[in-house]
Amino acid sequence: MGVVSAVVTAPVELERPENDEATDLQRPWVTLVWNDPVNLMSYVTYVFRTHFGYSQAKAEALMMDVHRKGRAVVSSGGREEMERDVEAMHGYGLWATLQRDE
Amino acid sequence: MARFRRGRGGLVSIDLDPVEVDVLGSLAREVLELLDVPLAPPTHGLDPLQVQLGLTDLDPSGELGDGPTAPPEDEVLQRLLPDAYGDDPRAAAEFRRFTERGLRERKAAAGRRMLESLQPVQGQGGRVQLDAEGARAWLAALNDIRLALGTRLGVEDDVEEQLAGLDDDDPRRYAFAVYDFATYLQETLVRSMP
Repeated sequence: MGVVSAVVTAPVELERPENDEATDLQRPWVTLVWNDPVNLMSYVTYVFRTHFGYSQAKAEALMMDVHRKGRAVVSSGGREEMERDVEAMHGYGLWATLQRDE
Repeated sequence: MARFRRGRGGLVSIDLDPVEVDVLGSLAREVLELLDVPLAPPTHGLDPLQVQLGLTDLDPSGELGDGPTAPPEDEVLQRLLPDAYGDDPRAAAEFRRFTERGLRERKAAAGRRMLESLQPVQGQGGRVQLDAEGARAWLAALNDIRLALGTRLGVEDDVEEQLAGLDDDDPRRYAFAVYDFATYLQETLVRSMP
């Protein structure tokens, strides 16, 4: 998904290790938000701005991705961090899950 | 129809008639009943300072790690308290065990906050004014109300079309109208957020 690159928070590595496992430890998990017919587009945008601190433009782009593609990666990082994001999304009433980055 | 407006001093306000106050109150109470959270959240044995600082995760009584592991049976609760892992039932169960109670508590707190601010205008209607914290609570509570109604009604992307397909005497017409009202309120509240 095109949005992944925009939400990288892990420190930049100058040399990427060949080993996949090492990269996995760096940033192996993502938070997905899924489309649903109830949540308002304006509200979803508001949640992305408020919780993640994204700009209006970025929050809207992510919201449109959720709406058009059925889901979007809204954040990536360590597993515990993604669990906190998912828990927060559920608090807002958004349908969110976490999984290993594909 | 009533709508939220941004006022002075970072407050948002809405003028509600008695029927609207009634409808919103009963919706909030229905969601609260569904969430089934005790009215006073248990704080026994917890250091008040910890509670204030939001450090209650330290959980000396071990209660928080002992929540339910299975998703709720009710379809609305499934939507309000969804699985965190779509492809890993064991991880989803473990996550739920540690978080579901807290999530229910937070949703119930928003609903209670909404009921509190409706209390002064009960019966006669009037103006409800919300500070930033109150507005956030209303936003979350209205969203949960819409999720509950939307799930029960089987709302799809085009609500207008669904409504147009109902017979004039279909009892769901009223519920759709209420859903529409809650949608309008939430939409105007999002735009008025301080």
